[in-house]
Order: sequence, then C-alpha cells, then structure tokens
Amino acid sequence: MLEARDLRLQLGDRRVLRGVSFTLGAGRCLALFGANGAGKTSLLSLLSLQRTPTAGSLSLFGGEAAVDDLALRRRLGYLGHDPGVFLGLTGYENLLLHARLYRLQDVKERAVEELRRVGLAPFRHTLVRSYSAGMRQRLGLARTLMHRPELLLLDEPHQSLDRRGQELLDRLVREHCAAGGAALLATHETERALGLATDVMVLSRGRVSYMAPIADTPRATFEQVLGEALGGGGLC
Amino acid sequence: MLRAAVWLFWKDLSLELRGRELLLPAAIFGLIIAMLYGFAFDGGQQVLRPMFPGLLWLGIFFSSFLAVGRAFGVEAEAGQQLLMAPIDRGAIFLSKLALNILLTLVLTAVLTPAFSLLLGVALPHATWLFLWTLVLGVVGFAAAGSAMGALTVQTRLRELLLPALLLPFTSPLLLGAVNATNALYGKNPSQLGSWLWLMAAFDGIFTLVPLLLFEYLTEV
Amino acid sequence: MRYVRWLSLPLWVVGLYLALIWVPDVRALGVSYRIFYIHLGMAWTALLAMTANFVLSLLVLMRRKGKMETDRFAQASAEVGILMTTATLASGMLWARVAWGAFWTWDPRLTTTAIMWFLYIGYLLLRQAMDDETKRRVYSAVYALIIFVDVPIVYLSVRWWRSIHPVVFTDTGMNITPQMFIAVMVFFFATLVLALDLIYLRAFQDKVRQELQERRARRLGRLGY
Repeated sequence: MLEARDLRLQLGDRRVLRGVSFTLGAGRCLALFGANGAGKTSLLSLLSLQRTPTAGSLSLFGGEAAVDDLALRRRLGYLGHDPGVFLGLTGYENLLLHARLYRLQDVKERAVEELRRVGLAPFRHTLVRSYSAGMRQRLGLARTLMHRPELLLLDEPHQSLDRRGQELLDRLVREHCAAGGAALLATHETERALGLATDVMVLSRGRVSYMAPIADTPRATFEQVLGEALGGGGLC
Repeated sequence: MLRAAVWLFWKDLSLELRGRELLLPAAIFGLIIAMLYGFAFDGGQQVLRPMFPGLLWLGIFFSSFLAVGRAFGVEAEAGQQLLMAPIDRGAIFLSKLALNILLTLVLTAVLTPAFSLLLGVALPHATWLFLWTLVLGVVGFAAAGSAMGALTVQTRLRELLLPALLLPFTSPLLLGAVNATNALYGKNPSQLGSWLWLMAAFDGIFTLVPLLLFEYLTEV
Repeated sequence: MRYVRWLSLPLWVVGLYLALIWVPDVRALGVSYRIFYIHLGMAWTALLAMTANFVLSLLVLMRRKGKMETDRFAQASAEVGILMTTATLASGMLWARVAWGAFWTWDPRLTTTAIMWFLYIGYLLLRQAMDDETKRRVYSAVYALIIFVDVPIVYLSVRWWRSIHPVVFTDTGMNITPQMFIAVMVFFFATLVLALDLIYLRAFQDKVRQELQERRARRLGRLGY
C-alpha cells in the first residue's frame, strides 16, 4: 500500500530525513516513535503529499506518488498537530464542507453520523470556536475518517484527548486496519501505541533505527532501541 | 472545479455573515478615511471638488485592501486542511474572487454615498455610467487581490507583504478609475470610453491569467 | 563566461569615450544630454533582464528538469534587472533635473519604470518570505508571469493619463545621427555584457551558497545532529 524508498529531505542546512525506506501493507498499523527533531512530522508531510522530498521516491497504492495527483489525495486521511477545522463554522458545517469537497454521497446524513461516532452529536450546531481542544481534536478525527481513506496518517493523534477520547481513537484506528486499511501514527504515547499497532518503527536523526512487527519484538529489545533513540543524540 | 468553488464560497460567506469579521472593520476604516480627508484638506471648502474622484478611489482601494487582505486569513487559520483536499487551486482562487467581489461591492456601496455626504460633493449625474465605473474598478481590485492573496497565503509576514505586492500592481486600475470618474464630472469626457475599456481589460486579464497559472500551484 | 567578463571593461571604456568625447554636443541640449547614452543602454538592459526573468519563470513552470538551475537564473536576472532599473531611474532623474528643472516629471516611461521597480522588488520580497524551496520556486514564478503582463498595462495607462494633462515637457525631438547611433549601441552592448556577467556571477554565487549549506548539513550530520 505504501512504499518509501530512500526518502530524503533537507530544510536549509538541516538534513531532516536521511534516507528513510520502509513498506506498509494493507491491514497494518505502524507506530512511529522518535525524539523531538527525529523527523516524524516531516516524514508524515512527505507521505501526505504536502511536500516533495529532496530525493528518493514514494509509491502509494501501487503507483508512483505525485504531489499534483488529486485522485490520490482522496485516498489519504491526514490529521496533523492542528485539527484543521474552521473555527467560525459549527461542527456539522465543517463536516458538511469536507464531505462536499471530497464529493461524498448523502452528505447531510454522513455528517451527522460521523459526529455521533466521535461523540459530538449534542454540539453539532455549536461553533467550533467554543469547542475545547479535545473536542476540536475529535472533530478533526471525524474529518480525517469521513471520506473513508485507505491510508491514515496521524501526527500525535492522542494529544489533548481525554481517556475516553483516546479509547475512541484507538478503536476507530483498529477498525480501520481490520477493514483492510493501513495506518501510520507518530506518537509519544508508548503504551497506547503499542497496544494499538501491529508494527513499530523508531526514527533516529532522520534514519530508521528500528522497524519490526510488534509480535517479533521482545519488550526488552524495544525498550533498548527506544532508549537509544531518545537518550543519545536527541535535543537536550 | 466550479462545484468546489461554490462550496468554498458558501463556507466563506457563512463565516462572514456570522462574524462580519471582514466587512465591518473595513467599512468603518473607510468612513474614518473620509473623516480624516475632511480634516486634512478642510472639507468645508469647495477646494475638494476637483480632488474628489481621487480621494474617493483611494478610500475605496485602501478599505477594500483591508477586506481582501484578510480574506485568506481564514485559510491560514485552518492550516493545511484545505490545501490537502482533492480540489484545484483554481477553485480556491475562484471562491475567493467571488467573495472579494461581493465584499468590495458592498463596501463601495456604503463608502461612495458616505464620501459624497461628508466631503460635500454631489455624485456624477450619469448614474449608470458611474455604476459601471465603480463595478469595473472594484472587480479588478478584487481579482488582483485574490491572486496576490493566494500567492502570499503561505508566506511569513503575509499582512506586510500583500500591500507591497498589490498596490503597485493595481496602479493602472487606479488611474483608470480616477480618470473615468473625472470624465463623468466633465473633465475630458471624450476619454471615458478608453478608461472603461482599460479597466475592463485589466479585470479580464487578471481573472484569466491567475486561473490558468494556479494549476501549477497544486504541484507543491 | 569567464572570458566574456573581460570584454565588458574595454567596451565600457570605449563607450565612455564615444559618449563623452567623440559625439558632438547637441546644441539645444548642451553637455548634459550625454548622460542619455548611459541612461538608454541601462534602460534597454533592464527591460531585457525582466524579459529574461519572464522566460526563465515560464521554463520553471513548464519544464520538468533543471528547475533549480533555471530558478537561480530567474532570481539573478530579476536582481540585475532591479539594479539596472535603479540606475536608469537615477540617471533619468539627474538628466531631468538639468534638462527640465525637476527631478520627477511623471513622464510615462519614467513612471512605468518606477512601478516596474516596485513590482520586481515585490518579487524579491516574496521569495524572501518563503522558506520551502520548491514552493518558493513555483510561487515566485507565477508571480513573475503575472507582473510581466502588468507592465505594458501600466505603461498604457500612464501614457493616456499624461496625454490628458497638459504636457509641459516634450521629448525634445532629437534626430539620431549615425555617430550617436554607434555610441548608443556600444554603450548598450557594454551594459548588456556587464548584466550577463552579473547574472552569471549571482547564479554561481547562489550555487556556491547552496553547496556550502550542503556541506554544513553533512558535517552537522556527522556530528550526530
């Protein structure tokens, strides 16, 4: 579903990514760990077609990924640090607009249904401006999942969610992967991510320092790689 | 492309109708300009009469500039979301163009009579031709503003950069609008046609050229 | 390009000689008109540099390969174009002060040149305000194409505008003698070669800057950052 070959990204005099290669198949859920500045968000920005890599290639769904391929964008769901919702619209209107831009069918019913799914149904006609950070994140999640993307790209999705919100997120991602989709989430929530993911990847200074299925990774090994990635070479 | 543009326009319009974040401050600013003109140039005297077209259009341009400059602010607010949606950049341009035309038309409709009242200068008698002049001037400004707004939306210092790009760019439009209005007041009336054509050409060219070129902006 | 550089200097010397000494005085204008040779050469070169910027920007958008190099040259030609425009404005204003008694006369060409100066300064400002190199390349190319279309419209509008107002200063009808023509052309070529050289140097400098950045990145990488 996703194949990255030697992705490199240089911003100014900083080599953010220095040759990242990995594949992600259908039904897999990859948890991405790494210290601040290891390149997690940059990697996600390349995978979500917001940036072109300095070098390397990326293929998505079996074809070479081009930044200007609009059809490809429809098959991606990206939730970044910012939930990406309009503060001056209500939750319902936000989803309605999203559904229309993605050309979904039965937009009104779908919008209500998605709001119910993330527990925002009672506040559907409230302006997002008066939502709390956690509610906005839930709305962002609904927006990301609404067009049924095949590949989910989540950047620290657990942030500002309460425990029930985090459980909801985990359940939705699990359902997504069980239905044959793939997901990649960058995170610092080690325990949650390990309970959710099928594979782990550790980024360290722009390179993949470890990647394996969770089933093949003894806890001690994981602790060791993660400790190395976070301990040595990160920002102090 | 057109459908996406319509939905985006709907979004901007409902944001504006709800918050009035663009129109109200811009209109107030325009009225303040009219007051300040009165103070600075002694509005009670008749000296303002020959200068009226210039003062009016500068007022319209500056206050429109406030509205047009802010129109892309909403997009900056919602981050990358819109830019990642499977829609043409042309659609974003079209929706902003429609919004900007609407905003600047309303502004002009408020400011023109207000300027006339405060500065004590009657509007030209040829009402239809005057309306045409206003529309052509304002539409061109909205088109140029939408193009420059789209180009600067992802820059640092967006608010400072936009006037530096937009105001010199629209100088032929200002000349056209001021001189067409002058012609309506009876100063070189034979030139009216050329100025209207010039403005119409500006409007057409800078609606089409960005629309054609913005296809390339999807690449990044 | 390395050898062309040395062509610029003798051309300038010859040009200065022709313009300042060889060409006879024009009676109606006196000695001050001699700045005209420098002025005209720079104005033409400025226009050519902006045209080069337009063509290069078009190539940045249309061509798939060599975008980085093309973009470098596009930026360099805009910068040199601005330099030449500034020189044109300065020499034009000096001449206007002596010939017409005022630094600024709202002459159509002078005014258009000034607006063009602002538009291309905007090009550099826009580039400076964008961090992502791919985006900067495409956005500034689109801007360059749009403003290039605007310049003739500006010229047209200013000319109509000036034709309405009483024209105080007409272009004193100078009949160009063959001698003057030669001096003009030599100066034009001297300036053109200088501009080409500057563009090349500037693009080269930018390439070196990028290579240095590359090395710095590699060293930072080796140090473990």
